[in-house]
Amino acid sequence: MIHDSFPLKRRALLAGAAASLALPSVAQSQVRIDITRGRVDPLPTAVSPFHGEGRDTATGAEIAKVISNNLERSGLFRPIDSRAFTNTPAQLAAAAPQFTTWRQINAAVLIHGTVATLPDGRLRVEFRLWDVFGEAQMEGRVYTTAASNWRRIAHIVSDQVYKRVTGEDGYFDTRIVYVSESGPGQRRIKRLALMDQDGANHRFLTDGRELVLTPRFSPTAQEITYLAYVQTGNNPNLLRPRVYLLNIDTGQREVVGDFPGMTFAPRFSPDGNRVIMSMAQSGTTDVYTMDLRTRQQARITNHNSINTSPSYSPDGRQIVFNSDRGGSQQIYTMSASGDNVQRISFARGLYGTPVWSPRGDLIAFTKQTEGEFFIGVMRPDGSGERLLTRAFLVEAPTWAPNGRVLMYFRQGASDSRGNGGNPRLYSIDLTGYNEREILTPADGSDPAWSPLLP
Amino acid sequence: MTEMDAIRQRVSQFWNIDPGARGVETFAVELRVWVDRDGTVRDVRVVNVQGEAGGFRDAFADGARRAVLRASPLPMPVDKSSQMLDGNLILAFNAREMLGARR
Repeated sequence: MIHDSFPLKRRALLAGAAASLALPSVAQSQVRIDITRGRVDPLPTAVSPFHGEGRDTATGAEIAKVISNNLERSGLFRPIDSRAFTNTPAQLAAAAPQFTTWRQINAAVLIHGTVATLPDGRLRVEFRLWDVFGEAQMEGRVYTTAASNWRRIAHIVSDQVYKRVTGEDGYFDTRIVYVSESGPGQRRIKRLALMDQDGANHRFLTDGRELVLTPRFSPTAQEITYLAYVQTGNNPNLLRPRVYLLNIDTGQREVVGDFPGMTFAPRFSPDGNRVIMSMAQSGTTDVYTMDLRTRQQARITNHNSINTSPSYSPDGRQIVFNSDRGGSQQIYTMSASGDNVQRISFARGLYGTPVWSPRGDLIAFTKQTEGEFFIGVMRPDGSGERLLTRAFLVEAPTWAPNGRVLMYFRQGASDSRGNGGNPRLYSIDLTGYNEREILTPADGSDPAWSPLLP
Repeated sequence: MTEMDAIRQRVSQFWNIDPGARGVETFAVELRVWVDRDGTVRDVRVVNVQGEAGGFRDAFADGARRAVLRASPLPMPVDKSSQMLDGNLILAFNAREMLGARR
């Protein structure tokens, strides 16, 4: 449990803005200059090692490193080399920053703090965010937590800084579940793996004996649903799809159900009470929901076609899915009960795996056209389609909880024995900039981003 | 290049725009700038903001204000600098044109 005390002192930059709105607009005697161009550059940011005595010194340095790396990876901040810093961590802990010297190294914002181990063994972490040129504190908070939680505190501080500077909720205090792949092409071992969004605390959740697919987080971030192919009779070649619910904290695993035919990609409803998925039965594939308490199934689509990849809107009122009912695979939306079906993708190519943004304003999708795969976004009414990245294969887009960043996997072509073309995880900003590989111990596919941790 | 362009260019250099911020192309902010004869920026205040209220708009206004402070000293025009003293310099920021072309 992390205790977040009230802000230390917050002098908002915009204090006075509300009052001055009533001022008369620009009079004749004034000189007005329009600024209509800026730079799409990351903000120069100084992250000082947090000050600590004795062995807290090392923790303070590590916390600053995690924050600096988080902010840098977002593409919106450019951390300045700490060798240029003009105040020591101890000086910053004792008095307000000497802004003139931070301005000389062109730091637009400065982050620093202190770390102290309390007599009861817990860690007290304090941070401050300064506007260097405005010479004002933008944010300041204190956290008290178990010493082992220092990394989470660093993520929470990163989220605070990100939110204060960009106006957008952060996404650093989150985890990623994905399918780790190893071994030769035809005898691939697939294990569920979990890691922090920055790749730390990597661990495996399954042992590789079952083929696992499509892990998804619940809205509470503590449970994962996924699909496994398991032997249920005597024939080792006869595998049935089984949907599991796994509690990450306790390791407890529950069978949601065995399903006939092909089952695809279960996802949670936003309230966490249901999963939605598609199942193939007697020649058609339809969208079904299952209530996790009663295990009651409901058929949502009923159409003589293939309807797959359902994903709820964040308010739970609508579902986006793909269907070939119009002759080729396209994206459709419908109400949560299956009414009011509307096609939203119309351009050339095959559209698939739509995922509604947690922010609600966009739907991510994959698109296949002219021998290549793309990941793109469009508005829920189908307008404003933008393609963000392309490759031989890009699949399985998943949104960061703030709806700003997408993660997916990218794969090249493999040889006739199924080797090569190793799948790897990548992230990209909504603007199509800042595409980065997420480093994993082995190959990785099918990532799913958690909500912010509770 | 006019004398005003020198100020415009200098401030633009320090204005970091986040094109992925929600609604960024709908925001506009007017800042009143108190500047010395040598171009040193003494104070910057928001006098008018447009766009949907919220964290994104606040961040946009903060960013514009930060750009003016970072751009200090401003390259003051020789003949017009006296007109800009006493808070009579207004800098009006919007990224509509710039981002419109990208979308």
